[in-house]
This record gives sequence, structure tokens and C-alpha cells, in this order.
Amino acid sequence: MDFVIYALMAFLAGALMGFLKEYKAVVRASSFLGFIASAFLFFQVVDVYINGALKTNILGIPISIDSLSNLFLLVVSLIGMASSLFSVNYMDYYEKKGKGWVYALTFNTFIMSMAFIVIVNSFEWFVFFWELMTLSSFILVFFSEEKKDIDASLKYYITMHFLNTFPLFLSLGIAYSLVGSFSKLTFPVIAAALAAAPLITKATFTILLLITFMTKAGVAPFHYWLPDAHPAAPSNVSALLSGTMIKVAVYGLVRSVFTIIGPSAILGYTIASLGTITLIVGTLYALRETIGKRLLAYHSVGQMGYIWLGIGIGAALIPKGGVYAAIGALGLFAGLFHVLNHAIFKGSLFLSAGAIIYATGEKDLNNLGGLGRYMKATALAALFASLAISGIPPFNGFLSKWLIYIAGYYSTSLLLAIGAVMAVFISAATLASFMKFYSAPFGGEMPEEKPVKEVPLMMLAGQWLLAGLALLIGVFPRIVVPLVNLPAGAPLKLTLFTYGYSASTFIPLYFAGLIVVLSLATYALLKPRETVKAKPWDCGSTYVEEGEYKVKADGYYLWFEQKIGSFYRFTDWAYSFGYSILKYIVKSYLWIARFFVKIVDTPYTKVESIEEIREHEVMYIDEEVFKPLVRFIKVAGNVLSGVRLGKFIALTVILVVVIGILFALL
Amino acid sequence: MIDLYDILFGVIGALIVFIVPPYLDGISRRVKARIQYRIGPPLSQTWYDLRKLFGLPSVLPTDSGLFKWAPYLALASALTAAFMLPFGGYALFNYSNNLIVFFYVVVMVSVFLMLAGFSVQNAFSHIGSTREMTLLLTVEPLLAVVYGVFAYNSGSLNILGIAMNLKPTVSLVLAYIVLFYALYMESGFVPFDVAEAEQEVIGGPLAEYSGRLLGVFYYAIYIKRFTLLWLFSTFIVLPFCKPLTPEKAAIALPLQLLIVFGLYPVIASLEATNARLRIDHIVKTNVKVFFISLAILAMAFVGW
Repeated sequence: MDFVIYALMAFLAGALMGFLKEYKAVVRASSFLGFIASAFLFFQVVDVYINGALKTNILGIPISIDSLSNLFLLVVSLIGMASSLFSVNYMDYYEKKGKGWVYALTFNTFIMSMAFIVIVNSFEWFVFFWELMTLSSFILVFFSEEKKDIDASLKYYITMHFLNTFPLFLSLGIAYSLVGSFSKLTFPVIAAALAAAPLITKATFTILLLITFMTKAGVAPFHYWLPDAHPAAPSNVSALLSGTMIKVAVYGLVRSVFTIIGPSAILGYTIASLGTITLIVGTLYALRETIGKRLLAYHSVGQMGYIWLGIGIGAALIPKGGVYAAIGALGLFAGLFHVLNHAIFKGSLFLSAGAIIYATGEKDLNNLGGLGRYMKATALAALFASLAISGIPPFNGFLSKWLIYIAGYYSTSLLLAIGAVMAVFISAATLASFMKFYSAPFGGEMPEEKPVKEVPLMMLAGQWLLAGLALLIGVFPRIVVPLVNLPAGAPLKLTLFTYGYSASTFIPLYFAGLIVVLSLATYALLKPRETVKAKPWDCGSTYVEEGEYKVKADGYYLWFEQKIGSFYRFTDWAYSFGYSILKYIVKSYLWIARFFVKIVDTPYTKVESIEEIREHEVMYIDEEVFKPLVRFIKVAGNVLSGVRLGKFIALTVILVVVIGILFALL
Repeated sequence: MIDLYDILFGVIGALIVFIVPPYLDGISRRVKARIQYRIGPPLSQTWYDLRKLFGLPSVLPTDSGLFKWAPYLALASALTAAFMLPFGGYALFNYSNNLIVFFYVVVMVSVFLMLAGFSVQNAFSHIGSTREMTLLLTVEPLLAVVYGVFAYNSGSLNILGIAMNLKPTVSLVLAYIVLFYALYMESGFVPFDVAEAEQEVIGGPLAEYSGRLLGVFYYAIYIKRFTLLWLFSTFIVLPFCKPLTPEKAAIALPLQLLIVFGLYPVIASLEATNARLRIDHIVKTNVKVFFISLAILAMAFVGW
């Protein structure tokens, strides 16, 4: 069955909802249609899992859904469903902006383009949808239109332009020159052509694709756009950006490494090293972050490091064969499993962050507290997802992280083992920063008592769809592991409840049951005795307000951050280096722009920075050319409407003109 | 396949897990007292204390459900971690046999301790919780290196698999030292007891706890300390008991217990003769230790 076509129609219908008049009707209808479309994608995933790979053609676009595409389509559909459900109510928050039609168009296009990236079987269409994804996400990132957000989206777009569009088009050109036809540009054909190509072509092609996917995935050192862009977007879009869009880059990586280029040791070690560096940089930066969504965004960088480490282990060890190939497949499987898991819990976390903003309007964790009492359902969802990303069993994050460690340690390669060591360490850092993310807003009491209501049902449904899945997959990995393992083919030890590799097994249900039974039993045995309620003891301090009597989010791990300060100094330096490169790119753009843009309100101003273009009234070159004509028509319109001609005279004039034209023609 | 040995070892193991940990604390108090020229309390004193706490009502400073449930969840996690360790070669509940899983389950005790501390509006419990987390942040990398040395040395990451296949090398000995250091620190013994630090942050995350809830938390912490030590004694005893037959297991179990009892006075005297470190000192030291232990990992991969 081609559920994709129904999904496409639902996405289009969702985009068309922009024509409705009322803002609320637009966002609700288009979000709900986004949900339905994502549900169709989910049916497609189930269908392909049951009936095997699907090859078809939609509107001339060649579609091929194999096991790898299916996994990523699952990611798109799950996060798409949750995020759309959440949007139904959440987008009310942006009603003042009143850009309902922009949202309807871009939100649906965004999910649709991601779904198509992972299922098209043509490099040309891949590039097309890739650009569509970048464009629609760019518009969504500056949806709130605050100055900071516009800067973030600009940074995002220029970065994508230089490090995504250029390399992608160049690699498309290489592929075309090798194959010789756009219509035959499917992945296996490119792979065959590339195998016969000279080494230098192959290397160039590989490096270009690697840069593309590194940038989109947010892998260091090209991650700098991500922590600004993801928090700038509305939270439902952030969930899609972090949950899905950067995963699409992983799809590109896996597809190009394993289908087109072919895995090799050097490529694998490169990917694994990049992953290791990324997970350290992303997470340690997240540790000192106090803006909730920025913290999450940095963790997306960090968790992406885990995924690249796993895939790198796969690419490095699979060509070796024998027992190493098994460990490599294990690493690849764990990386892919982490793609799914990270999408689930990070999607949920961003939705929870959105719920906090919706309920309180506050983004800074320092100013939050005590929400647990008023938003119980959101708090529990956030706790589940926080434990999942920290890798606490029996949540899903643990299962994939654990196998990444095992694959790294068993690799008998020092580089990969150090990758695993860092991954274990960073897992603790993740725990630390999610202790903060959960406790700062939900624990303790409010800084000042304010009425806060739990968010509407649809928003809770979005959060809980994912948070519930995090627990469900953690306890019953059997639900998804076979689907995830199809592309990797790792020799897992997988029975109804057991999960593991060779002699290392883990039975999540057994473990979860043990924890639940033991805690219930001890609770029943030692029930808290008749309790007294009292205020927290503040050592009799009289000068500290009750709401201030706590550790604020920025003070949590101060000592640790200070003692590893040299790490931050080094990466800050690298960051500023990258930023200055970006500045020069912007400057070169401005230099080009000067020929096309003219400042009109103060003549003879030279354009030096983007701010100037934004502040002044500007005219573009096309405007300049057509302006006289437009001006003439405007003036003519004004004059004509001013001259009160009778209907008769007007008709006569028209008649005369028509007759004149006829004569001229004759 | 359950046979008589499993049941026998299981019963003995369960008895050890439930009963011994508070006695170990009793030993520690006695040893500390002797070092300070006091007689000290009876060995069962910690049990008496717990019984007294279990009998008292608790004061609730918050409505948070997490505050009420955290002690029980922590206790359940500590017990679950203990149950997967080999008692003479047989685990009580074999839900996993992997060393990494074990440490994750142990960390859950700290997780619930921290969540409990953060759930209440009290600066002292917040400070204690952040310190507990900072401590964990510096311990985990050391443990990660130990996993690496063990995995390369024995080709396995399963607790029994490691114990059965270890080859004596220099790096292994160094890894044992790092492991002991990490376990000592994770247990929160004296130079590293910054999280609870009674005189300083009035019990840290436990500051707001009282009565039965406090008792449950203390019990969980004793069991966690015991569990970590039991792991170490396992790695000392079991490599000498291969192949692991039921007869050898019967010798191994008392040996494990003996080593735990033997190590506790050592720990107690370390505690009695040291003053608490500051958290920034600990972080600074451990960053150095981490880089040294990376060198140990490299040594292991060279084959030393």
C-alpha cells in the first residue's frame, strides 16, 4: 500500500488550511492535518515492516523504502505525530504574531520534506527535498520575529548555505559527471559508478558529503548554529528540529557511507573521533546552560556525538570481517537505535520545555521553580524523558547507550575504547544537566507565588506519546529492535524479554519489575508513619525570602565548571574562530549585496553590516528597475480615481482606445 | 534451571544483603572509637538507630510525591544492584550480568537521593545534591577507564566473565587501585563525604528528612556501600576460584564476606584519620587522576 501518497495529500491539505480566516482555526486545522499525515507515514512504516521493501513512484518521484529508510521514516512519523498534536493548542501562544498561513505552509512542508528525504531513491530529489527542508525550517526558526531569533535564523541559513548547499550541489555535480544522466541518479547506480572512479574523485565526494551531514547534524566543529537556532524556534518546531531534522542528516551519513561510498577503517575512525569530540563539547557546554531550550539544544549536539560514535564503530569494524564485523554491526545498530531513542526523548523534552513556556512565559531556569505541584502530568513526562536521556534503566536511552559502550570497549582499538570512556563520562554529565533541567523548574517552591495552570490536553498528549514510548521501549525493546536491526544486522541476543549481545544480556522487564516490586514492598512494610507537615527549615534566617532559599540553576555545578575551565576556554576560542569565519562570509555576502541593494531613506550610506540593511529602508535591484513603472501606475491610479469621469465618458475612452488599437493593428 | 545450590546461595546472599550492611557501619564506628581512645558503641548500634528511626513519624516539608517515594526507590535500587552480584558465583536475580549495568543501577541510588534533595525548597539540600552530582561526575570517568582495562584484559564486561578471565598485568593492578579509589569515593566515605557533610550542610539531600523516611534512606546508603565493596571483594576472590564449581563457590562466599569485613576497618581508619576535602579540591584531584588513568588504559592496550 502507498500510504505515502495519502500522507502527501494530508500535508498539502494542511498547508492549504492557511487560506482559512481565523488564526486559531488555521493553526488547529493545519496541525491536526499534520498529525493525520504523520499517522499515514506511520502506517507506511508498519506496512513496509510487514510486507518488505517498497519501490514505487509518486508524481514522477522515485520512491524506495528499504529497511534503513523505514527506520528514519518511523522517526519522522513519531515525532511528527507528537509535535503536531502538541501544536494544536501550543500555537495559540503565538496568536499575536498572526502568521497562521506561514505556519500552516511551512510546518507541513517541513515534515513532508523530511519524510521524502529519507524515502526518495534519487540523489537529485534528495538534494531538492534537502533544500526544501532547510528553507521551511529557516522560516519556522524566525517565527517569533524577535531580533535575537532573526540573528539565530540568519546564522543558521548562512551556515547551511555554505556548508550544505555548496557541498551538496558539488557532490551532485560529481555524481552527475560519473553517471551521465539525471534520470538514472539512484543511490546504487552512483555507488557502482563511484567504485570505478579514481581515488581523488572518491575522496572529494566523501569529504563533501561528510561536511554536509556534519553541519546538518550539528557535529563539532560545525555545531555552532544549532544551540542558537533550536531554541529560537517555537517549541513544537524545536522538537522537530532536534528530534527529526538532525536525524535526517544521520540518514544521509549512513546512506552515503554504507550504500554509496562503502565503509572503510579510515572513514570509520574519522566518524567515531568526530562523534567523541562532539559528545564532549556538546554536553559540557550544556552543563553550564540555564536557558531550558538552549540546554536541550546543546544536548542534541552531545547525543549526536553518541550516534556518530556508534556509526563510526560500525564503519570502522565492519570491513574487518569476522568477530570484528559483529562488533561493528553492534555499534551501527546501537547508533541507529540511539537515533530513534534520542528522537523520542528529546522530542518529549522540547515539548515539555514548550509546556513550561506556555504555562509561565519564562525560559530561564533560574527564575522557575515549584511547577511540579501545578503541572503534575508535565512534570512526570519531563522526569521520564530526563531519566531516559541520562541513560537510567529501564528507559530506552540506556539500552542504546549501553550497546555503544560495549561495542567501543570490545573493539580492541584504543581510539574507539577512549570513545567509549568519554561516552560513559558524558553520560554522567548528561545526568547532571538533566537533574538541573528537571529540578530547577519542577522541584522546590515558586520564587513568587503565581497562578499556573496545567497545559491543555492536546499538549499533554504530545508529550506523553513520546514519554510513554521512552518507557515502553525501555521495558519491551522487542517492540522496535527488530525493525531497527534490519539495516544493521547485528547478532543481537534478542528473545521476548532479553536484550543484549553475546554473553552480556539485560532483561529490562525483570529489572523494572524488581525495582517496582521492591519499592512497593518496602513502602508497604515501612509506610511513612503519621506525618506532620512543616515548612522547610531555613536555619532561622530572616533576611532570605522563602522563594530565594535555594540553589539557582546557574549555581548547580559551579565548582566542576570552574575546574574544567581550560576546556571551556579552548572551545570558546575555537568557537570565536569559527564565528569570525562566519562574519567574513557575511561580509562577502554584503559586498555582493551592495550591487543589488540600495539604501533609499538616507542617500550615499554605505552598507557595512546586516543591521544597517535591517534598520534603513532599502530597495532591491528589481524594485529599482520596476519602480518607475510602478510609480507611474500608482500615480495614474491616483489621478484617474481623482478625475470624476462619468461612466459614459469612461466607456467612450475605452472604446476609443480599443478602436485605436484595432486600427493600429490593421 | 534452578537447583539446590542456587537456592542455598540465594538464601545466604539475601541474608547477607539485608542484615550485614548496618553491622559493617557498626564495625566502622567501633574502629573509629578505638582510634580516638573511646570504647565505642556495640556492633548492633546502627541497627538500633535504624529501628528507632523506623519507629518515628516523619515531617513532610513539601507536597511532592517524589519526596515521599524517593527513599523507597533508592532502597529498591540499592537492593537490585546488590542482587545482581555473584554471591559465591551465583547472582540472586540474574536480570543482567554486566558490569556497566551494575554501576548504572548503583547510580540510581544517587539519582533518587538528588531528586529528593531538589524536590524540597531548602538551600542545604540543594547544595548537598549538587555536590553529590559533582562527585559522580568525577567518579564516572575513572570507572569508565576501569571498564576499558577489564574489557581489554579479559575480553568481557560481565562480572563473572571478567573475574574468570583476568590476566595479571601491571595495568590490571593499577586498574584495581583506581577501582578501589572510585568505589571509596562513590560510597561517600570521609574525605569524600561532601554531599552529606553533617557539620557543614546539615546532611545535604537528607537535611529535610526525618523519622522513618530518613531511616529508609540510611538503610539504602548502607546497602549501597556494602554492594560496592562486595563488588571489589568479588574481583579479588573469584579470579582465584576458576573454574567455578559449586565446591569452590562454597569457599568463595565466606572469603568474599571475610574480605568485606577485613576492608571495613581499613576504611574506618582512613575515615578517622582524614578530614573532609572541599568539593573543588576533589574535582581538581580527580581531573588529574582521570588523565593518569587514561595512561593506564593506554598501558593495557599496549599489553603491559
